Amino acid sequence: MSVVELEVFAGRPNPRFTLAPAGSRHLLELLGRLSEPATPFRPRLGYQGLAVYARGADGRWRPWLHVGGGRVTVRYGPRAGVYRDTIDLEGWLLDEADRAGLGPVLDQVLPGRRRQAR
Amino acid sequence: MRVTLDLFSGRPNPTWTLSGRQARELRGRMAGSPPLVQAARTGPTAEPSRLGFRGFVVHEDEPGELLPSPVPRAAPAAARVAAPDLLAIRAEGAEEAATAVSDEVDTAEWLIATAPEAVVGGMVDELAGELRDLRSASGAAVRTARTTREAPEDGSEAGARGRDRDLDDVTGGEACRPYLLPMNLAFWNTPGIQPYNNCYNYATNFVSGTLAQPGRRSGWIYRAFQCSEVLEAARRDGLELTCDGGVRVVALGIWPGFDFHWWRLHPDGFWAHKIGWWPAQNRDNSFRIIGNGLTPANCDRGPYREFCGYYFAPLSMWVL
Repeated sequence: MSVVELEVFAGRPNPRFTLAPAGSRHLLELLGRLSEPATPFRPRLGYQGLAVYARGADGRWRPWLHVGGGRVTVRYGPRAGVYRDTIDLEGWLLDEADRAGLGPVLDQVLPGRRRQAR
Repeated sequence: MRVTLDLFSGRPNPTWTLSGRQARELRGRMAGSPPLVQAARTGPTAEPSRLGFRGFVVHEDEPGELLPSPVPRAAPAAARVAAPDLLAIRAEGAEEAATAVSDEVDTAEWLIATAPEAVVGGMVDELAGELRDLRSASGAAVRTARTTREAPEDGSEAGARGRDRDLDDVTGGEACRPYLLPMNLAFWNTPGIQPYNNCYNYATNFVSGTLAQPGRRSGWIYRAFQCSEVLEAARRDGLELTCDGGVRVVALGIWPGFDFHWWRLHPDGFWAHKIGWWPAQNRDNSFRIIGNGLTPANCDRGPYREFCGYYFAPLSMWVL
């Protein structure tokens, strides 16, 4: 199971949903298809993508993957690899968010997203 | 008023009802120690933090029964008492928090005594031991309180004003001594701090590790994403509308209906902020450095289009 956060707010807690084990496996398969390096993602105020969290050895949840702005950032401890999102991982995660019940939130903070959804 | 001992993970937790006299005494204890109240509806922690003793939850039967509210509330609230993770955070907040932690453990011991024998029988000694441990662990945390900010608060003054007429107007009084720390983004962008602290933590220069929310510390979080609501919640945490004495200068913006955002002033009119769990930074939404005339009032704030104003965080202010 993976916890995914819709990265949209700066102050209040962001909405979250969980990926079922099958979804988590699919996510890892998709990550294996990324190969083109990209420049680092630069956060801004407002919607900036989705983050996938994992629980660390100390029991606290930390983001290890960020998808947004056409980039996929994978963290390996203190280092990170950045790839171009050539497989529309962001679109897939947004669809998963929709299926998990975050559709009304997406409609409000990402007006027009439905036109882009596959 | 009902009390739940938050202890088990599988079986139902023990719950009992306080008598009228006991409810009045609890209300008095809570009124005398505001940080003790943590409205459960705001989610003190996203999930149970540990197995075993997790404190008590006191439920109102009627809105306002536990603590009088300055604003009408539709639904009954609840408060957490002696939750170990929250106590640890409070103990790190300030040296005066030692008294509040001690009061809260006292209240927890009093709550155990209100439980019918049939409800907590056999667990009393174990709970007493948990509370003893909690009191001594919190005391140790208090002794390291000064590590939770960027720099020691020596009261020195950087003295720079922002290059913004409105800001100069509000910081121009003789009694106003802005305490502007040099920008130290590296302090915030470390693995142990960055993911757990947000714009409100950055603005108040207080590491709570909770993605702090205006008003949560005082038990009355904002109810809407409007300047007036978020400002009022922050004022309950200690924020000031006027500059008097040594203060941090902060700015508040609102994404109407959705969110709030804070910035903090540094020397020479430069500003920095922290977007959620992302690294602290000093650029606006057009990636321009916020300084040299660019301020939170006139920079690109993205959807946070409503600028509320400049405010003042006393050096002792802490957030949760």
